[in-house]
Amino acid sequence: MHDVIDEKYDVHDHFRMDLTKNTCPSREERLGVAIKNYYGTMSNLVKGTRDKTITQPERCFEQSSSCSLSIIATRILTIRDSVTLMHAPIGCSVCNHGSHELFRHIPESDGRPGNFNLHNVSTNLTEKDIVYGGTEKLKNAIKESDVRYSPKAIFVMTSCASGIMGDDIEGAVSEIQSEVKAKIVPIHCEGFRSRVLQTGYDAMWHGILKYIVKKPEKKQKDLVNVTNMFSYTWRDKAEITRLLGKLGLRANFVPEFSSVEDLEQMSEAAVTAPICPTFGDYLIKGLEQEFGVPYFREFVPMGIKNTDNWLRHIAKYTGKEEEVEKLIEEEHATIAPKFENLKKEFEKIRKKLKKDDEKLTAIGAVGQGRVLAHAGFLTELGFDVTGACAVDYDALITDDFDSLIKDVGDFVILISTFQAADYVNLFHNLKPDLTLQAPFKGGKFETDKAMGTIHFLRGDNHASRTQAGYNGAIAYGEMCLRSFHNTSLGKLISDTTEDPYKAWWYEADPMYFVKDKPEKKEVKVPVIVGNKRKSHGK
Amino acid sequence: MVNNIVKTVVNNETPVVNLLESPRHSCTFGGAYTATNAVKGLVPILHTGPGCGWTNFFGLVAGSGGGFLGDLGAMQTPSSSLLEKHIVFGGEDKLRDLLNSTNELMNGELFVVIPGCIPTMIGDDIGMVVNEFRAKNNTPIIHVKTSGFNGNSYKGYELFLDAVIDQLLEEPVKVKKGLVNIIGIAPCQHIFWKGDLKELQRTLELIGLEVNPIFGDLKGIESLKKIPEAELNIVVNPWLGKEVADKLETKFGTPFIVQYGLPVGPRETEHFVQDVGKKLGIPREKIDQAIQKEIKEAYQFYNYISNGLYMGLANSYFGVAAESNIAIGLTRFLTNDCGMMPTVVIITDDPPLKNRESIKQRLTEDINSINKPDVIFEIDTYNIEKILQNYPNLIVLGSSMEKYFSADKLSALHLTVSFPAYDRMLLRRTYSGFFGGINLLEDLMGKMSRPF
Repeated sequence: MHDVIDEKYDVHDHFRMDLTKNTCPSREERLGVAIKNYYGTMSNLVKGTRDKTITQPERCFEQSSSCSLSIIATRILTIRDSVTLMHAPIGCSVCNHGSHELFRHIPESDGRPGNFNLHNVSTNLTEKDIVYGGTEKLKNAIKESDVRYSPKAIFVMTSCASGIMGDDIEGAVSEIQSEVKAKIVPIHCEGFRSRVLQTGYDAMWHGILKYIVKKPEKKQKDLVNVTNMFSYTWRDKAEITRLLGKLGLRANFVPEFSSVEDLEQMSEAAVTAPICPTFGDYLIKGLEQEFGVPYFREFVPMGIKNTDNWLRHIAKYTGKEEEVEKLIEEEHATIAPKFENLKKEFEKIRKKLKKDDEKLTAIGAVGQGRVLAHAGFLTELGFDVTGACAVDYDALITDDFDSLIKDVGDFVILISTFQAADYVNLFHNLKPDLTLQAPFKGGKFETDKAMGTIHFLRGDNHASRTQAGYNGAIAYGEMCLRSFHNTSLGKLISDTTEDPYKAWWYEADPMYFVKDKPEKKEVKVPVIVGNKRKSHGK
Repeated sequence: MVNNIVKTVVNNETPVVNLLESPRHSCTFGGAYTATNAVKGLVPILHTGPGCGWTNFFGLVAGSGGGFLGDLGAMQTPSSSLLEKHIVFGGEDKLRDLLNSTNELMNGELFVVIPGCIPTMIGDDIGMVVNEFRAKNNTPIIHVKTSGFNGNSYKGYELFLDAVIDQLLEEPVKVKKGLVNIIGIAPCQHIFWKGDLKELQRTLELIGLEVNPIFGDLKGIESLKKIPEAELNIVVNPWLGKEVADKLETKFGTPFIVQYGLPVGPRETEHFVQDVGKKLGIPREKIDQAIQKEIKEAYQFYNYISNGLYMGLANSYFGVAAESNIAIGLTRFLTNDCGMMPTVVIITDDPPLKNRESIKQRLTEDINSINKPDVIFEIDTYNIEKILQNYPNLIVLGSSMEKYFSADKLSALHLTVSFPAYDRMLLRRTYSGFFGGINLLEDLMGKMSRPF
């Protein structure tokens, strides 16, 4: 709703959460800047945030994106001894039909618990419920979930329909809680709630902090909370577990495939270490505010340098400063030569594709946290980061972006929530040597250049599907390298797929569909000042 | 065979259901979206919250054994992505902007506006916005009367065809002799829709017909416009699409016949083709001649695996949890042509009550097994598992949700034959037609370790 920035919002986050409230504020309510559309340089984005000139433009053209409910339901579903109960028409739960297969293929010898079931259930709101209200149905559904599955927690997820109907979810829950054994956790994640998907994450953590996390009985000095997303794989967990294990620490991965008990004991941990600082923002701050669990948020364990720093921060809070230096030294001894070999391979490719001392260019990222991870990692590999994409952007990450620019130089950023047309326009105009993407987000890629995958997925359990830690730096780097070694699929798809967009679009400003924007055609790649990249080899 | 627990769980009188675990469908919105996407060149325009397209893409499309539905599916689909302010002030302006901008940006033969929960609940006048657009632009446009809560995705398929008939098709038309439409195979819900439509088309072409599968071919909007020219509509489903065929009969006078369940294997396919031929007045002998070679070849393939059939499959129990169309087709084939014994058939597509008796008949009558299967209508995955636990099946034909359950809890072999199908990629795969049964046996026996 805040298309014009209200003076009362500060771009710095002085937010103090109130767990007596039903839910979190949306990111746009909480922060001065929380947007889903921007095209320009990182430096202008940072500057515009600080002087509050960055606003959310009104768009006339939009494509399918995602919502607070769908973005968190896939995550909450994996909490092992819980039920994900959608108070919604049936369509909202259709993307969780994989519940009976998720993680099942991973052998128990690789650490997968033998006995678990994931439950995707719905109150199946129909026309009649819309007219007469759905709270009775919800109460019955909660009771039946409790009897059927004997879960430790029931997550009640709200939807657009339940929100517009005005069902009193909190009332229903407090009325029925004494009748069921499971802890009922209402999550207010109506799809229309916020233009910024991150609000969904905050709503999820709010419910978990309010209803599940227990007061600490004893501090567990060796326990490290790791906020984990589905874009990190089974092997990533194994790598992080391995590294923390060498320091005598235990990783408490949440919420992805955690147990309710794992969530309960977060208050007893020595530190909370995010894999993505904005995904975990609400949790890490809540755990500190309510239970005194410290956190850090500056680093993401992707690439060698960032992994070093991530581990050092954890060590600081767990009294492992000496051990961590030894660990880093040991790991570097095996990883550094492999990484140097990788760089040599990229150098061979660079010599083939580029003139003189021009670097290979790349565009990566999908979430704002991954902008930090990818830009750092690609620079480490020797790439010139031409641009990045981020699903959304808010003032929480402004300072990190500022540091990143100082570290790797300025680049173009497209903020766009899975807007496929924006992506094809960007790739067409920047023409990076390497594009890291998820094809469903962009459809037609007019590229005969290297295209790698943006991230691996949670069920992946092969060494080549690692992106975190030291082993991840090699595996993900090798994936980038393989992207150059065979580009035939990209060529074929490009040659045989019809274009859904008219030709003018490729020459247009990607922000053309911002309402009331007068000029059309000519594309303007943002000019980067005071940086070696002044043009983007078109 | 059925025990008492099952009888109490399953009551065809539709008790009040407060809770459903993963029923095998989406909402009307999802059904209309995937149907639109399955006709080339159509532009679905979603008028709904920001996540409905995403959810149905990762649910209904990805779960249908196919990763993608053309260039206007997935995240390419235009969407008004309504937020709180639109709930307060209405979403009509947003839709207006979206239609105009889509027209400026995208190549498309027909715009199909598909509303979800929000605009329906806040009372957006979508018809008005669509009419305004129609008056000012050359691009044809229709809108489907969906919301997220007025039924399931099967109904969404019918509502899409309703919108096509009411808003796109014109009369009067000249009937084209020998042209038939196939109705009742809903894209994505029927996981073999791509392959089955192709095979049914090929099968009917054998007897000299011109077949319009409507979905999944390269003709785009022409497939839709051709619908009223058909001499006969063929509903290949025991219930879905009947109302559409009724409507076409009323509006254009096109007669229709109903094939009660997918024709699988030479026996059922021969019946099917003869039924169609009879309705169109094609002499029986002419059809016999046209399909003779196919039948001979199909039985030749049987011969290759007859040992395997004797040792591995014949006289063994199997259970089915699938949509009625597929359940009938596979059960009849495995029973009548492979000597297997159905214990239970769980129908998962929630057919209307009035159609259930005929479905039951097709599964219990004219069946070559002394044991008749229990036929149970159930859409809740929790109950489906409970029911399956009561039968000693060697083989479970179901959705991929039964995959690990069958192995861990039933020690049964499992094959995904119905939505959702997360463990299969289905493109040209078909179980329909003369060779469809052979394809099924290939997949089924591939699950066994065997010396034969």
